[in-house]
Amino acid sequence: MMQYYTYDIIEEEFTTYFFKTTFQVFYRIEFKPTGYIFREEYIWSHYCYEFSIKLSENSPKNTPLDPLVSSTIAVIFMDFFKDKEKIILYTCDTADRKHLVRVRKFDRWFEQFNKELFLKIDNSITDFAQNTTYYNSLIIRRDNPYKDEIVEAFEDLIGGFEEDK
Amino acid sequence: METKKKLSKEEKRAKVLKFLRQSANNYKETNLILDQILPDIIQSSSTK
Repeated sequence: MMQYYTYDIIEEEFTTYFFKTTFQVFYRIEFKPTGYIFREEYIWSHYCYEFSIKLSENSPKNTPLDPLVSSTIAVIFMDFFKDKEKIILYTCDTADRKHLVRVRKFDRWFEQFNKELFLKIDNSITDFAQNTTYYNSLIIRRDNPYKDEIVEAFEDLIGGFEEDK
Repeated sequence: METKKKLSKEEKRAKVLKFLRQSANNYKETNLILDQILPDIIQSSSTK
């Protein structure tokens, strides 16, 4: 059975999870609505979120690697996805040149906890004006009742431009 | 009744890029933290 830290949840404007590690590091995982990228007439656009992971300002720096942190965040994701309609959009860019390693790590982490429950669709789009490529992932439950419509809208929105290259 | 203007492909691309720039900016701190915590999984799974 996967070990993880116990956590607390606050449901206000955003859904926020908190946990503290044995090294006294405080993590805050926040899920913010971000549906405005899709057309508002899609009923499922209101289930669209970005997540953020933050450390409290007084958390100690340079603590040892703690495998329970990533497993706790995975458990928090599972809890957040209790509602099968929810959607997460994840973005990383090429600005700091660490994107390929980061995307591989994220994929590996995702594989660890998806347990056949989730679907992840990846796309990328190049911003020639800023010489940057954005890697974008959409994560939904496989049993999301709007799955086909969401995947089609995402690929139309983000993937539809790559043919211009 | 208000009618919505249909965006051209260029306008749509500009809207998507604007969103992605903002989204990438939002994820900056999160990605730095993910860089630090995700090796934990790779390390622990490789030692099993």
